[in-house]
Amino acid sequence: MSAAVATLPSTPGVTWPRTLASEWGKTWGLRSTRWAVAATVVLNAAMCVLTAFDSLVGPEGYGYSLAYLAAGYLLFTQVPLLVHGVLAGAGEFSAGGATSTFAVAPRRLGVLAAKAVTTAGVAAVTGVVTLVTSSLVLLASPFGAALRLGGDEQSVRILLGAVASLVLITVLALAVGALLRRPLVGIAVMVALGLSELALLGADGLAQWLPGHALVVLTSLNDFVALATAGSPVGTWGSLAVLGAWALVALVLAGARLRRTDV
Amino acid sequence: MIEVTDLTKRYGSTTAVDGLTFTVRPGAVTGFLGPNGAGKSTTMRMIVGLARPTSGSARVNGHAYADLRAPLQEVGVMLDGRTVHPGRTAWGHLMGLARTHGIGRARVQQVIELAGLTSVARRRVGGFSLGMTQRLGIAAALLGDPPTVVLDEPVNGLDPDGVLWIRGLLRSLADDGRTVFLSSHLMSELAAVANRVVVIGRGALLADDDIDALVTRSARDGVVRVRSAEPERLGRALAAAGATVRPVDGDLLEVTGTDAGTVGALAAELGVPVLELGTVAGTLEEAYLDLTADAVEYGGTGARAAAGDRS
Repeated sequence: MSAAVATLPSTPGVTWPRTLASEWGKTWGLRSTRWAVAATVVLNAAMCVLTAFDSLVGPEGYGYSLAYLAAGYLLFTQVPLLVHGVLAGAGEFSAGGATSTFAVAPRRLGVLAAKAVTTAGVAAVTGVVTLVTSSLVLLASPFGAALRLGGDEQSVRILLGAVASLVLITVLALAVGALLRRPLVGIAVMVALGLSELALLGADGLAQWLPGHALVVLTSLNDFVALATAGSPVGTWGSLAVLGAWALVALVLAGARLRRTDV
Repeated sequence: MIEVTDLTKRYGSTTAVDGLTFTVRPGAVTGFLGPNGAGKSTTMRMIVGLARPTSGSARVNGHAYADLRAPLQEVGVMLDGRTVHPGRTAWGHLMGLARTHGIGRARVQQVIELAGLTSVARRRVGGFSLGMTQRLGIAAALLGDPPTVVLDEPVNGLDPDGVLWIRGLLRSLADDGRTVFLSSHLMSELAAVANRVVVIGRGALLADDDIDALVTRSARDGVVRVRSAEPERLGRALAAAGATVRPVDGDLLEVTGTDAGTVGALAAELGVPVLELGTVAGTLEEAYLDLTADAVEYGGTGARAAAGDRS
């Protein structure tokens, strides 16, 4: 058998870039990943189609900011992405494959880091594709010609903030999944955390410390942001730091569980 | 080479693996045998770093598994249970493992062909039969062309063709000078392929020996069976000569502590017609049952004693 073996790498061994390449390939090889991305893009675009018939778009209502109209539904349409994040963290433990993964790459924290970067990448791609697709839908609407394309401070905040929030909350979902190792529990936790903003509208004292707050604040119009962050120690971009801290703490806990316990 | 030293694993108050020490040498197929729940899978999981020993150590090719730079190229591993995400294709699963080591598509294609999975390589593993899943596990174990392979119940679920295939494969790996370690609860399967066997029961080592040596340790090895026209008279004479006699049925006796020649001579002396005379060769199955029966008996007594303590 030895004689016929195809060439093995000249520099053998597990490296972090190789682990990342493995995780990146593995995540896109799953149907659930492709579904989650497609669902997020399509759901958000569908909401924008509905917006095209909304009489509140215009100077008397939501205004003509393309960025705001394209990103305004992400609080709801991010749900498939949250599910993806949890599955990326918990799926191998519940459905199978974790033993193979960690037998092949015994440095478990490296694997977790590769999964986190992969998940962040999936979320970033999804966020950009969602915003571009939804913008095209809106531009094709009856009021498309009136929309402001952006370049102003508000549009930049909304677009960058939307993608950054999606990336961080999806990484949080991954960490929650890897920590709990149970997809359904993880999804319930993430939907509660992601959408908690809804239940807490008007209770910004607490809401600003929750991970779902960043997306809401960063994708709102200037007037609402001023209202929501008045007297808040967190502020606009600070909400992203709060979300990042949630993701980091969850990753540290997941890493601790991974290191200490058997797979 | 796999060296297991004083390996112990406890889950709460349950001891799954109890102070195991054994060495698996290259150039041979070593079977790992024990009843279900004996601790075989737990031991294998500790060897490949998935479970942490409570105490003791396992070393592969001289290193702790976690210190191996290229695990796939040192130890091929096939574990029991859900080792593949059902949503992946066979190709995708193997590529995912190969990429961690920079192993290319050509080698992945090669192990797929080797394992006979070419026609199903692009199908999702969730729809695989047990036999196909086993073949995929073996393909994964061979990806890095490793000098050591650890296989947990590789024959499970394979059809007769597959069983013959894997026997040949394991033998050829050992003939290459590799270390082959496989578990099974089927003694007959191991007898067909293994040179050595490590037997455990209730987590503890019962035997670590050559297959041939183990057979001669069977309690039944060397038992003389004699069928005669006057079993009672012959039995009394044999007992008087110091042998242990056990009537089996009708005119058949099983005699230990002597040999067939002595029994035949004694019968001739007495003038008892002998209808049949022979020596029982021990089988691996019997040796195994003897060993594990003791382990089960020990456990049963222990359980009764514990119950007695509480009452």
